[in-house]
Amino acid sequence: MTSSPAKHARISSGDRKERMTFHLMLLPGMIMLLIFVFVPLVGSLMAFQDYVPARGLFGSKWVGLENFEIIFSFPDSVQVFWNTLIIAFGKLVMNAIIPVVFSILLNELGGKYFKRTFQTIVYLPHFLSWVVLATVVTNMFSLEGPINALIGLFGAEPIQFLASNQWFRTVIIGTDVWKEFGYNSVVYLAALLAVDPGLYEAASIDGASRFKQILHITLPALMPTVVLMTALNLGNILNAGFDQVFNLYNPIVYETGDIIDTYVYRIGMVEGQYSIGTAVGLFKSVISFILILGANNVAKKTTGSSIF
Amino acid sequence: MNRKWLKAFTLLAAVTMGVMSVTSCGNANDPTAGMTEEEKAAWAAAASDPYGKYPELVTYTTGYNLTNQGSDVLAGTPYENDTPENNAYTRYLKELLNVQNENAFEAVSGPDYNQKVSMAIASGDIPDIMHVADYETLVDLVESDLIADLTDVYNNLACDTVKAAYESYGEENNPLNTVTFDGKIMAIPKTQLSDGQDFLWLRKDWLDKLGLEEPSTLEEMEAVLKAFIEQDPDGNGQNDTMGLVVHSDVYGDYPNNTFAIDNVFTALGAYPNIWITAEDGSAVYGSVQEEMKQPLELLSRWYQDGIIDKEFATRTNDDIVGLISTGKCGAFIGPWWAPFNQAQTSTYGSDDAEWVNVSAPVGEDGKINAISTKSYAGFVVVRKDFAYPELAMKIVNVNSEYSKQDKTETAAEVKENQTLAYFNWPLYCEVQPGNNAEIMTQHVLDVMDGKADASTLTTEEAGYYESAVRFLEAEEAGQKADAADYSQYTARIPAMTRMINEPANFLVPAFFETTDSMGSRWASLEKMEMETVLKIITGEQDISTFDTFVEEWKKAGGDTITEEVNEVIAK
Amino acid sequence: MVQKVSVGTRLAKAAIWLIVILMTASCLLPLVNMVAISFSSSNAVASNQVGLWPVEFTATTYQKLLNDSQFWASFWISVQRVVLGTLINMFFVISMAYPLSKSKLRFPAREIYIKIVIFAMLFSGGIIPLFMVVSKLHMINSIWALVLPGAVPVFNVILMINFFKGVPTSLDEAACIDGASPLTILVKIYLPVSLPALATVALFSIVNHWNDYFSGLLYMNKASLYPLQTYIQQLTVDITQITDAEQLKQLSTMSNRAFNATKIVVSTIPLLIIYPFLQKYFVSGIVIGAVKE
Repeated sequence: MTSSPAKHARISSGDRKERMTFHLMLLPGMIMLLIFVFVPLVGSLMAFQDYVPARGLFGSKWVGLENFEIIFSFPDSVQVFWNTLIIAFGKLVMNAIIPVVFSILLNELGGKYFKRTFQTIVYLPHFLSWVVLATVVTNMFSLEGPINALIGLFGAEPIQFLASNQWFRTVIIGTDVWKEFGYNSVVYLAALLAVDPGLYEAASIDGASRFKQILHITLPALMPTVVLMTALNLGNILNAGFDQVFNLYNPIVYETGDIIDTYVYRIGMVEGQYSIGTAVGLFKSVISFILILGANNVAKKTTGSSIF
Repeated sequence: MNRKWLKAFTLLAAVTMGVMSVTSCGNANDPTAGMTEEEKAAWAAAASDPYGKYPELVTYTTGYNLTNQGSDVLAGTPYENDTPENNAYTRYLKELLNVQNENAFEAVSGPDYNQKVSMAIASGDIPDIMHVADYETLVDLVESDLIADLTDVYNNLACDTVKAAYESYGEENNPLNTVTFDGKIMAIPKTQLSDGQDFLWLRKDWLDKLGLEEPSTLEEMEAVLKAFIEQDPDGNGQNDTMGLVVHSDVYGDYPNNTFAIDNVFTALGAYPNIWITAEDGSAVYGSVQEEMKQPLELLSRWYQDGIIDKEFATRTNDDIVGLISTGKCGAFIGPWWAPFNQAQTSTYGSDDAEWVNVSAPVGEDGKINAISTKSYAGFVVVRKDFAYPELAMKIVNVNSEYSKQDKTETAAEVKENQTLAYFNWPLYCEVQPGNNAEIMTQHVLDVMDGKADASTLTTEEAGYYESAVRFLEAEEAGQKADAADYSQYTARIPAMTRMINEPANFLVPAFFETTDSMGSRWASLEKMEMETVLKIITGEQDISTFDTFVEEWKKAGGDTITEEVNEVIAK
Repeated sequence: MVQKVSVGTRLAKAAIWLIVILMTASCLLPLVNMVAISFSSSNAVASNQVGLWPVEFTATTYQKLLNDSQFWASFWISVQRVVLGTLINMFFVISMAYPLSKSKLRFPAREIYIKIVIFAMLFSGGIIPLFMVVSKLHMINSIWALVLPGAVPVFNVILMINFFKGVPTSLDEAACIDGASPLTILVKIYLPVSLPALATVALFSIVNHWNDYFSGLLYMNKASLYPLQTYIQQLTVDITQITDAEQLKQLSTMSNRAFNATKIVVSTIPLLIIYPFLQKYFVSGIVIGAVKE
C-alpha cells in the first residue's frame, strides 16, 4: 500500500481512534441487518425454485429461470409493467410537488396555532387504511356523488371515473396525493424551520417581493430534502400502491389500472405461489437498486454532493 | 482489521444459518411405558371407543380457527373471560373426553389461518392435530411424509353420523376419495354443506303493490324488474328505484356469492367459471363456450336499458347492501340464507319489507339450473408420531354427532355459544350430509305441524324451532320480531320449504382442483375473462369480442390447462 | 404604488388561506365521516345514509368498546411496542447515521457501509425466511418479534444522515480541537441541534409501529397477543378474500361497520395526541439557523 505524504499526515492517532469508534457504533446495526435482512435473503433462492413449504428451501425443486420466464411470458405483463411505472411515476412527482407547495403556503401563513392545527389535520388521512378510504373515494366519484354533481353544474355528462380507462390512473394518483401530502409535508416543514429567518429579513430590506423570497430562499433551502426524498422514493418506483389499487379497481380498468402487485396477488389466490411472488420481488428490488444508485450518481455529478 | 470483520461476519452467518437449518423432530413417545396392566387396559379402551374418556388428561397442540367477530360479542355474557383454550367447546371436550387443546397458533379462518399453516409447515414444526383448508397443502403434507395414516382410526372409530354423511355424497363424490392416497386415508375431510340453488329474492310488498305475479322465466323476470324501476314501487312519487343489483364478480363461487347472477347464465345453458363435461365426454371450461354469448348479449341489453345497476362494476358489497337497505332496490339473486344479510334485516326492521325467494330465472324445463359444490371444505390432519391419532376422530365425532343429541346441562353452554359465534369448535370440522340444512328444516316443520314432538329435535334444530316460534308470536301480536329471529325463520322455514318443493337441476362440475400450469397462468386467464365479460355487459365492446377472447384464452395457456385437467381426470 | 402592492399581497394571502383551508378541509372529511358513522345506528350505516353528521345518534358502540377487554389488551400491547420499538429505532438511527454522515475522507469505510445499508433497504428474502429466523430465535409470541426485525429503519437512517450532514462542520472541528471524543460531540453538539429532525424521525417510527398490523399477524400465534391494528384488521376482513362458505355466511350476517368505525376512531386518537406534542420540538429547529449564522 502506497500512501501519499498528505494522507499520512491526516492519519493521526486521534483519527484512528475516531474511526474505531465509528466502526463500533455501526456494529450493532450491522448485526441486526445481518440477522434480519441478510440471512433471510437466502430465501430469495425461492425465485429459482418450485418452492413447496413442506419440502423446505433445500428440498424444493430447482427450476432455474423458469419463474422469470413465466412472468415475462404473460400476454399482459408489458401492460401491467407500464401501468405500474406510470402510476408510480405520477405519484412520485406529485408527492414531491404538492407537499412542497403546501409546506411553503402554510409557512407563509401567520399564526402559530393555525399552522399547527392545519398541520395536524392534513396528516390525518395517512392513518386511515385504503379499505376504509375506498368507501369514501367511491362515494365521492360515483354517478350521484359530489364530483359528478360539480361537473353537472358545468353541463357536462356524468363520468364513471372508477370504471373509465381514461380517468382511473388520474383518480389513483390524485387520491394518493390527497391521502399522503400532509404526512409527506412533515419532512419539508421540519426543513423549512431550519431556514435562517435573517435571510428573509435581509431580502425584505433589499426590496425583494415575498414571491421572489420564496423562489430564491425557501425553494433552494428545500431542494436538498426534495431531492433526497425523491431519490429514496425511487426505490418504490415499482410499488404503485397495492392496497389502494386493490380496493378501487375492477376488471373494466384492468387495462390501465392493473399493477404488478395486484397481479401477483391474484396469482397467489389460485394457490400459494411463493416462488413467483419471490421472483417478482427480486426483480423489483434489482430495478430499484439500480435506480437509486443511478440517482445518487446523477446527483453527485450535477450537484457535486451525493445523496447518501 | 478487514479480515477480522470478515471473520466476525462469517462466524455470525454460520451460527445463524446453523440455527436456521431444519431441526428434525420425531420422538415417538410411548404413553403406555411404565404402566400397570390395568392402566394400559383403561388407555386402550379409551383409544378404541368413539367417545371413550381418557383416564388422564391428554393435551394436544393444534391450530385454532377463530371467527372474525370481535370478542365484544361475549361482553356481558357469562363467557366474557373465555379464551381459545378455555371456552364452551374446549370445556365440553374436556368433560367428555378428558382432552385439552394447547394452541400452537390461532387465527381467523381464511387467508390468515392458512398463512399460519404454511408457516408452521415451512418451519417443520406442525401441531399434533390441525385443520388445513386446501387440497394442495394436504398433498404437500402427504408427499413430505409429515402426517399420520388415519385408515384404522377412521375404520374403527368414526361414528355412524360421520360415516353416513360421507356416504350421502354418493360413491363418485365421496369426500373420502379426496383424502385417500395409495389406499390410505390420510385426513378426515370436513364436508361442504350444499347450499342448494340461488333464488331471485324479491320485495313481496312491492310485487303486491304493483299487482305483479311472481316471475319465473327470464322474460317475466325482466318485466318485474322493469316494473320495479318504472312504477314507483316504494310509492314516494319519485323515480328513484332500480332493477337488479349485480356483484362486480358477475359469477363464480356458486351459490355463496350473494348478488352474483350465475342463474342468468345457467338459465340460458351457460356455465361460467367451472369445468363442465362436454358432449364428447372431455372436460371443458364453461366460460369459453359458445353458450356464453346469449346471456352476455342479454345482460348487455339489460345494462343499456338500465335493468341492472349501471354502476355495478364499481360497487362493493357494502354499497350493494346499502342500496337494498335504503329501499332503492328490491331484487337480488342469492342463496337460501340471504335473510341473514343486513340488506334484508334492516329493511325488515325499518321499512316493513317482506322478502320472498322465487325460483327464477328458470331454464327450458321450468327449473333453475344450479351448480353442485364440491363435497369437502377442508381436512383434519394428524402429525406423524402423535401418540393419540384417534383423538382427531373423536373430536370430529363429538362435534358432528354427540353434542347435537346431548341435552344435558353440559351441552347447554355449547348451544348458547353457537349463537354468540365467537369461538369455533377445535379442529373446525363438522361432518354432515350435504343436504343437512334441508333435513333440519324438515324436522322443525314436522314439529310445527304437530307431526312430531319437540323433544325429537337435536339441540341445533331446537334453536331454530324456538326462533321460528318467537318470530311467529311477535308477528301475530303485530310487533316486529328480533332481527335474528326474522333471519332464522325466513331462511329456514319459508325459503327452505321452497328449496325442498321446487327442486333445481344440479350440474356437477367435472373438476374442482387446480393443475400445475393453472398455478402460474390462471390469474392471467381470469383477468382476460373478467375484462371481456364486463366490457361486453357495459357495452364498451360488442359481442364479437367474445370470439377473440376465446382464441386468446386458448393461446395464452387455456388449451394447456384444459389438457392437464383432462389428464388429471383420466387418472 | 405602496397601496397597490399591499392589495396584491392581501389578495395573495387570501388566496393562500383559501387553498390551505380547502386542502385541510378535504383531509378532515373522511375522519369526520368515520366519527359520524361511529355515532350512528347500524341500520343507518348499513344503508349508507351517514355523511358528515351522525344519523340516529347513539353511543352504544363506544359503550361496547369499553367492555371489549381484548381491544384494551391489544391497545396496551401496541403502546408497549411503540415505546420499545421507537427507542430501539432511535438508538440505531443515531448510532448509524452519525458515523455515516462523516465525509469519505474522515471515514473511508463509510462507502461500503452505505452500500450495505441501501441494499438492505431494497432487498428482502420474503416472509417465510424471516419468519423462520424469528422463530429459531424463539421470539414468536414475544414483543421482541414486533420490534427487532425492523430495528434498523434504513429509510430513517438515510434521512438522518442527511440531517446530520447539514450540521456545520465548524462546530464539530472546534470541539475536536478541544479534545472531545466523537461520542461527546454527538451528544453535546449534534443531538441538541437536530431536535426537529429527531422528532420527525421519531414520528415516523411511532407511526410505523402503531400502524403495522402484518407483523402482529405473522409473529403472534395467540389472538390475545395481537397489537391493536392487527386486532382491528381481523374485524374488517375484506370479504373478497374469503373463499370459505361458512365464513361468508357468518360475514354477511354481521356488517358491523359502526362498531368498526368506532375502533378505528379510537385507535387513531393516540397519534393525534402525540403529533402536536412532537411538533413542539420542530420549533426548536430555529437553533440550526442560529448556529449557521
